Amino acid sequence: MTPLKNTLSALLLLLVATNASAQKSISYTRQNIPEALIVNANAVVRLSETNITMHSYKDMTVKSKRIVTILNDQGDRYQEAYIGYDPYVDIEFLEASIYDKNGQFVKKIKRKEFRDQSYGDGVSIYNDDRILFLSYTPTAYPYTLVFDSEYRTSTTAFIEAWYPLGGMYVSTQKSSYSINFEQPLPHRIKKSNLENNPIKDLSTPQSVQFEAENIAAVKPEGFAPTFTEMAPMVRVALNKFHLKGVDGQGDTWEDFGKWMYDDLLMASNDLPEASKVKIKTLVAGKSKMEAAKLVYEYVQENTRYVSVQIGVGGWKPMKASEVDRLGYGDCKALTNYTKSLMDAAGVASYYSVVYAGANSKKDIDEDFVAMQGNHVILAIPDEDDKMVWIDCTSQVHPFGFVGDFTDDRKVLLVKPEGGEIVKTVRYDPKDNYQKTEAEYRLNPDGSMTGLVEIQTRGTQYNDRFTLTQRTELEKESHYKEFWNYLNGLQINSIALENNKESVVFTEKVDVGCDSYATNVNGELIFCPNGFNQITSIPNRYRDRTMPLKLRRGYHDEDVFRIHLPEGYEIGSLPEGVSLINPFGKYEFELTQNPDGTLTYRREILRKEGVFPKEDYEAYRNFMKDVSRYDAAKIVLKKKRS
Amino acid sequence: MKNNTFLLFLCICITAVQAQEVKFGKVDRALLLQDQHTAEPDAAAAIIYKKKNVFFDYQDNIGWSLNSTTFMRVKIYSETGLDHGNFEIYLYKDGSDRERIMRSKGYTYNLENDKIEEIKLKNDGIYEENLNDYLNKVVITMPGVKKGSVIDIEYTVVSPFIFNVDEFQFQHDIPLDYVEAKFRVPEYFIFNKQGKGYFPFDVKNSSEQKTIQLKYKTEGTGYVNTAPRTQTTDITYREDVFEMTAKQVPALIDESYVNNIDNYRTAIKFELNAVNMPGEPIKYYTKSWEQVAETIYKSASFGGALSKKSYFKDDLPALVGASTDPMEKAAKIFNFVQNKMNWDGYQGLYTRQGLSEAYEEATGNVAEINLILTAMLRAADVNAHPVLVSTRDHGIRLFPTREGFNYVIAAIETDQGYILLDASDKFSTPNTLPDRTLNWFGMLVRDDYSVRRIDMTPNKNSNKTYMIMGEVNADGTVSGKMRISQSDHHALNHRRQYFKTDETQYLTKLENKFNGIEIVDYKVDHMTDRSKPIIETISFSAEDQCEQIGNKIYFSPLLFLTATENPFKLESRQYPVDFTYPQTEKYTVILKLPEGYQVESLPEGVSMAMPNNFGSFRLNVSEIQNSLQIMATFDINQSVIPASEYPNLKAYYNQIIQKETEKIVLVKI
Repeated sequence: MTPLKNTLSALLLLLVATNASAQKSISYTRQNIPEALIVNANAVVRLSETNITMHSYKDMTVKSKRIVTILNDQGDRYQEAYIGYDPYVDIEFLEASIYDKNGQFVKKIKRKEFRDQSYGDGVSIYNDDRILFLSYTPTAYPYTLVFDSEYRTSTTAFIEAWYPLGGMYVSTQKSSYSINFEQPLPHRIKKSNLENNPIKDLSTPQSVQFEAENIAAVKPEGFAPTFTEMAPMVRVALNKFHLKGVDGQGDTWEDFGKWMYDDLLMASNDLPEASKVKIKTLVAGKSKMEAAKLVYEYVQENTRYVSVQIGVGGWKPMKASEVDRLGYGDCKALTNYTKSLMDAAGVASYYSVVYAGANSKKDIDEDFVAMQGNHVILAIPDEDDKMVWIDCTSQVHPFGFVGDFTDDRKVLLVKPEGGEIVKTVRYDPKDNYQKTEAEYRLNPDGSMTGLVEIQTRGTQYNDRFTLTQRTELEKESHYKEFWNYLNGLQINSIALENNKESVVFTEKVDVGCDSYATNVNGELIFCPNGFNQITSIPNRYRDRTMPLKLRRGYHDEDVFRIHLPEGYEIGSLPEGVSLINPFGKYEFELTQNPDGTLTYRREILRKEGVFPKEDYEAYRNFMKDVSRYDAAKIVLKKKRS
Repeated sequence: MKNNTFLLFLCICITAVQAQEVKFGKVDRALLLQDQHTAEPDAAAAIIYKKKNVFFDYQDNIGWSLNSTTFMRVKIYSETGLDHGNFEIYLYKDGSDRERIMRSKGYTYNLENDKIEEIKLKNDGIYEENLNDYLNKVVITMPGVKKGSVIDIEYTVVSPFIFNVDEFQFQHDIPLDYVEAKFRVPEYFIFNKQGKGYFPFDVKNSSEQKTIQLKYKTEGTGYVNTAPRTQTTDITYREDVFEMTAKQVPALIDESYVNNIDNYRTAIKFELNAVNMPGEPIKYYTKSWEQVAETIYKSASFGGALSKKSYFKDDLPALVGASTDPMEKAAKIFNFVQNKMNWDGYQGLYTRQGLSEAYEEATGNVAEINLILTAMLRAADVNAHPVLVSTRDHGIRLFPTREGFNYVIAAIETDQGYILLDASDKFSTPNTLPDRTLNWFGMLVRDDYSVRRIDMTPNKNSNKTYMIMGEVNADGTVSGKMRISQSDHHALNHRRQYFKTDETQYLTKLENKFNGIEIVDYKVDHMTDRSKPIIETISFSAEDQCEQIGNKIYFSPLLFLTATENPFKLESRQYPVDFTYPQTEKYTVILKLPEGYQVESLPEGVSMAMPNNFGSFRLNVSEIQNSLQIMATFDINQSVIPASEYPNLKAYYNQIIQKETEKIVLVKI
């Protein structure tokens, strides 16, 4: 036996011994968590290590270790012991161990005890993504979970990003991230929101390396930026990469877009000749934009949204010929199909990748060339080269109107010559308009009958126009919820008109209410603003930490004509008011008409924007004032005979 | 079990339904042209015709299998109906046994330039996904579906699970014009049937002769030099045929305050009662709920598990100590199991890992936790038994089957009655069980297999009381202290929801709930002590509770506790209103009036009640020196209120809101 071998076996023995004792206990106890990390935290990530090895542009290994101490049952969601996979991922290792609050070993969970199930994305009828996950039922809090995993994949188009902070109500004690390149692979790094966080960038030309220590937990606040808008994050992308069996490349948006066009889109642009002829006949003699509109309406009438995501099909549209035959597809398929039809009609159009969502206007990050976005829409340059946007997954939206799902954000326009970042249409607060006109009659018994007409445009149109699709019962419920401050409201009739040409929606509602006014001692008290009251006030925060973010503005105007009951006269009228501040304006006034009726006029303009956290209380007070003025009452008294 | 609530669900009338022939692929132009449904003009889509044929098929080497063929014709009326061009079929599997779709065909018909165009379903429109170890999901996506389309689809599912015949459903979330279903059963299998739902359907029974050819091999014999050969023999048997039909079945629309809408779906269920093979003794499966309970109790992972005692034998003596009173011992054991055991989120009737393993790990499913509880109680000579329960999500099975129950709790029988216990929930107390169990009836099973039906609907009102001591100031603001006390189910649900919730987040919620008051100080008592009501003490100041008009101040007697929104807004209702448990709210508000003001008018007191004492409300306002005393009580005395009482219920809430929103008027002296 050679000395070397001896040493080796001694070493091995030692290793085994260390492992065995390591299994008994760990030093991650509840006691040694710094107090600052407990504040607002339901869980504390003690250690998170992600080590990525790039073997080649189409081969990477991702090895992770995560140690998290869960403080209470609200923190269980941060167990995060799971791994997503698909046919292009090999899971090499997966194991979890549980330790109690003193760091004593409780149990080990092996790979076969992880649950394997399909990863439903909530929209797809089929999706080949799967997930192996652990759902551990804790027996006591706090406890610590150690999760080790390793997988190897050929898909390098998505390199796991580094989020040193894992979400709301969770803090991080230590987190590190590294990428080692076994061969030089040109890549790009995008750092977001790292400033003001205890983060070290130790990257070298050959490697990417970041470390963070002691990041306190944050908790959610209303009217604030989203977590991803604020969270520190590092993303890395290769100039040349691989995506589920397909090579890709691009270090500029131009190149990246060119690759998408050539490798993902081109092959799908195969509309059958018969359909081309059909479209040409359809648009014969029409101007460019008229033709575009006809094509869009053709798609809306003949297709439906069905999402199926298999392999590279998650990024590559289904062929136009298949959509033509089947009459369905996901956003990529329907957009590509519409584009093929536009081509046939002689109308230029561009496949555009976007982050869709009404709650946050998320941009495609211009500084970070990589696979991004979660939805696709189509851009059509009009006569003045201004982009007109359409969402090909909707059967009901008017031509050129995308609403709040994809408005006002940067998207990747994929042109044959390359990619380009442009911004979608913005709806100004003034464009998100609602006009409510009503005429109602108050009766001596406190009851009311009236007619209300509401016109909406912009995003407010978007909120309403699908009402035409609902059943009568659903419409009735909608109005009863919409005016939920009117007790005993009856909806006598509803007439809706959707003007898709001018994108205006009109609702005419015949209403009645048995107890609109309250009788107090022979006086009638009622609120003149019957049909557009703001009743909810933003939450009060004892200690606001985040900036105020008002996402989308709007503009409402109301005119209500009120017929007073026979035998009554004004006892007191609320005085009008006019408020102007950085958040917008609000005013109302009441006037007595010569014919004895009253006119109530109200206007509110809510702007959008980001304001320092100190402004939150001012905004809250503004909305409080608005809700108070909206509820202001008129007192009627009996006329002396 | 209250019989009146039970009867609400069972209302099957029999009507004669005329037969009507619809052939696959023969689509009428008139149907393609139809732009709205005749009976429900606002329906997004409708099933024009549905035919389901289920029969037993015998094949050599395989034996019996269950074949189900479904044919549906669907009409799409609007864009929102396009999803009805996708069909989901769930296939069960268990080890190597699995259900399969054997044949499927489909066409979409559209009217193009006045010509009927048909598009065929191909294999690329069919997706099968492995959901988990027991379930696959098949989605059939029909091609070319658009507004106006008519779809014909037919598929056959072949199942080795011949004892599990899926419910025949005659009601969907869209209207159904005509449905016929046939269930053909060889005489060897004896099924019981039970229908449910509000809508009538027709059932006809008949029988016919059937012949199958059995093949078998004879062995070769030496004497006459015969080779082995295959012989066939004909077997003739009786086949029972059940034919079900219904027409113009309205869409099943969910409503708020409905326990589980599926309870009201028109459907029929066949359950295997016995197998009677020639030459074999008849084998009975289940017949009554009592027998179902016995069968469950006899299984190894139920009663078998329950009989083991060794795993807790070290802990029990120390736990019980010197206690001799059964209730004292029961309380100790219940507390112990409830604290020790952690529910893994799985329901179920049977143990999964076993009781000793669950005990060891301190984690288990509902059956494990409550069987451990029962076993320990029994070992301590407490008269305890398991109770089989069907959760609200699981609904009501009118047919006695093992699948009728999905949950186990424990009960202690005493001379006075019984006490129900559920240790799977950390906040449950004796007889106050989590909402999920408050459904239908439970079946208590003793170890001699005798049973007792248990009404799971709570009879006792859960209490919530509010007490405000405050003052109205001359500037219209109100400040003071409020005490909220909650017991029974209110307390259980409050603990479940808010235990460990971030307090500031909870306070924000409270501030919003109470019309924007500002909570200056907050304290909660007995959040963890389940034996006592939860008491919250709140100091508040509130700006917008009073209206100042001229020299008067107006406010509602219950201030920010005023009910302003009626939960029942729609004019009519199909299904009973389920409040989960009966409840009582009591309000006491004592308000000091501002200097320099006096009462001008007070709302008149009121006392009103719903018919049958379903609910009652009282409000009384009185002036005592320079302060006001307001008392109000609100009751809902029954968990479930029949749909026929809906107009009264809606009016009851309306009147309460009207009364509560009346004003107290103060005037400046």
